[in-house]
Amino acid sequence: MEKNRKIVLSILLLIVLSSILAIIDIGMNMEQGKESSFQISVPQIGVGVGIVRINGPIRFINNGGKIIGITSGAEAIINRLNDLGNDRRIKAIIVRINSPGGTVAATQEIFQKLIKLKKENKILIASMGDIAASGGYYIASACNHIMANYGTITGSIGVIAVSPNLKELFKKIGIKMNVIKSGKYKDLMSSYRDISDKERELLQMLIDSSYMQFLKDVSLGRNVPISDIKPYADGRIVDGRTAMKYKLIDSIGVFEDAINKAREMANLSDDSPVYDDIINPLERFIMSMETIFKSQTGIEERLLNKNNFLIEYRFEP
Amino acid sequence: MIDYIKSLNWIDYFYYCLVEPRKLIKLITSEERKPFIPGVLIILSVSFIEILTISLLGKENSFFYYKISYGLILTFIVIQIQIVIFAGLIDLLFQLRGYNGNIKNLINLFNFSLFPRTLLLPLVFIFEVLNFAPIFFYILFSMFLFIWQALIVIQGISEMNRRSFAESVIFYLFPFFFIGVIIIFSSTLIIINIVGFITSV
Repeated sequence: MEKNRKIVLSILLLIVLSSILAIIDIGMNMEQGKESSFQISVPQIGVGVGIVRINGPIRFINNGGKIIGITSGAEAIINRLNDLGNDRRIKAIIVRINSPGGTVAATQEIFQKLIKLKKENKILIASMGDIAASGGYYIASACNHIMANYGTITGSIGVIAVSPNLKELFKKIGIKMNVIKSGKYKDLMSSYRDISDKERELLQMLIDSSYMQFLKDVSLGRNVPISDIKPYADGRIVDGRTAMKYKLIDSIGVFEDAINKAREMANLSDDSPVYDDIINPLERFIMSMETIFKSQTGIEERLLNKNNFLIEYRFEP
Repeated sequence: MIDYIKSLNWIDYFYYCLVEPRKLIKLITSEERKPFIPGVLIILSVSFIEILTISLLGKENSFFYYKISYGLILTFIVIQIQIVIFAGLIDLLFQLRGYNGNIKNLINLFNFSLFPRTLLLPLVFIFEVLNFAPIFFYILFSMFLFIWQALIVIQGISEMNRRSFAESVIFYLFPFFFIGVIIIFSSTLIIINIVGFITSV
């Protein structure tokens, strides 16, 4: 029996020894940053970079932006920025933009939020994807550094309001509208009649005012005089290379370069964690359900005559 | 306590566990022995070794320190709860069949049956050092050690109530079947509720 006990004791010692060796091995691998083909998703800890993604048209969703308690649209972006702003671990934020712009108010609200975060000493990096035009560029201009790809479509600094004139169609099919209004401009931009010169003048003032605000905010965000931006602020779209030439952006690079730039500007280590946007699988599932069940193209709203007139910072080909 | 450790009597549990599980149950049920503490230490060791083995195979960051501290406590609690539930269900079936139930002995038996799982680390470590399909061998050894663990419990149950090996297999599989049925029914109900909720929004 004594002999057997000694054998088992040796096995136990072997287990203890291998545990010690395993701990040393893990420690060494952690220090050397060993890569492994086997990855287990582990929560990230420590100071790092946060990511907020702005995809598609920027606007507030009519139902309050909530589906099963999960916010979407511009409200979701602002909530995400609030979360990143309140998170002490986040030293830098990458604003990943893939948007042709959107409504004036939603864009300005996100812009102001970013300016506030900048004042709170968060480093902001804009990384542009396929397109970051008009309102997309407006938002990017609030960041400390703007990075785009060579092929990114950007620029389109300007304001647009579009409304169809269906007067002839109404006439053809015999529809007449009964309008009782309190003031002469109450049915401004109605699709059943022509627009008058006075109305056009009024709307032009509105557009010009939003345009000036655009220029002022880009000037503030980029810290350049308006006179430097104005020559290219005629609604033209430009690619990344041209934008660099016009000094609309600061550098050319891919998303990974933007992460490295954020780490560099925030004095973070090369392996500091990156806290990406929605990672919860349930949220992803619900978002995809929303896309399926509720049209994200805006066609539904336009057909149903909801919000048929919008003033937008938007690139509309 | 020191005398007990020096006597090496506690090693008998591990020896019988590996070599003769039928004698292990006699040792557990004998009144002069106190198998609970060595059993709990086995669960603690198994939790520690499972975390180390998984960490050894993957890419680690500073989260490892949380895994090895809080994670160890969590794994320990989870395994212990699992054992209590399994032992409780087997004990329930014993009593339904008219045998003497003894959940304390069953819990101790389950605790000791985990001991072979501590061999996972040295076995996988060899293949990790050689860099020869460590993940394949991790899965292979995990399956092998699970079967070994099951055999210890089955032989223990067989010895405890003087039942045949085949009947003991049924006793051992009963908790898996019971919990499986509960999971299937409850997940079906949850899916029906979620789909209903989403479509009604």
